[in-house]
Amino acid sequence: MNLTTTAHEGFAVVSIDGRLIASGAPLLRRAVDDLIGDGTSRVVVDLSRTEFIDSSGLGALIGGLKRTRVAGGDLRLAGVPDAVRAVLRLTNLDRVLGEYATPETAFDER
Amino acid sequence: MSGDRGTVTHQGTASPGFVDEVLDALESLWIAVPSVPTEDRTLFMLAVSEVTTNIVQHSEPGVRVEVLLSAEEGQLRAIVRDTAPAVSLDLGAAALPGPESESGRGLALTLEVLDEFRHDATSEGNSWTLRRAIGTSGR
Repeated sequence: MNLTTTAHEGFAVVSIDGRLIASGAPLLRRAVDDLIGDGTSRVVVDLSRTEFIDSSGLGALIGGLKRTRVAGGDLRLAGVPDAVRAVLRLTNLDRVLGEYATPETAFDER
Repeated sequence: MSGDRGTVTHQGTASPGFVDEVLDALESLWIAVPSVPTEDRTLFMLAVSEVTTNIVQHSEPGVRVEVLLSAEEGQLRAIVRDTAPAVSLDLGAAALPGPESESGRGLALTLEVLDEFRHDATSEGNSWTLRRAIGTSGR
């Protein structure tokens, strides 16, 4: 898994390339913590290049969601592929994690 | 679909990178059985990932793990054998935690996507049997 963080006007985008499983989940947790520490609590996780997710990856997303909200922001998903959406639905987390077509539109309507 | 068949094995030491190695092996199985529907691939991979992650996270250094992955006769199967001390596990007692929980979904998900999930204590350690029938989504 590769993770890339990019700064935008008013939010940051964390892009996940590959499989989001136990081996990479700590990287996502750290990236979100670093953003919050730097004062950015509005985070989009771009999953358009994420091939697969399991419960460890879901845990990292939920952890990020909780911590960004505590910091006054939010964590939203963009570009969710079918393989990831299938797992989100199985766990009912599609109702908890907001999903947007692209990272650029995730915080449009604030 | 039923004409496709293939088998892949992978073995190694329980370590954080081991799960990725197993999933790489599973990807190579899909190349041998191209007719397996995408949803079956995803959900079977989910079970394999959960079970091998659980073994890796609960194993002492040096535990060996062997994974046999196969697709044939409309079934996806994984047999996972480890050399860890035999565990005692209630496979029927898994429920999804609340939406705010950051862990505890692995076993419930595994049971949800499989048609058979069995654990056997062996003389060497543990044996896990995973089976999903292909093309029966919406169960």
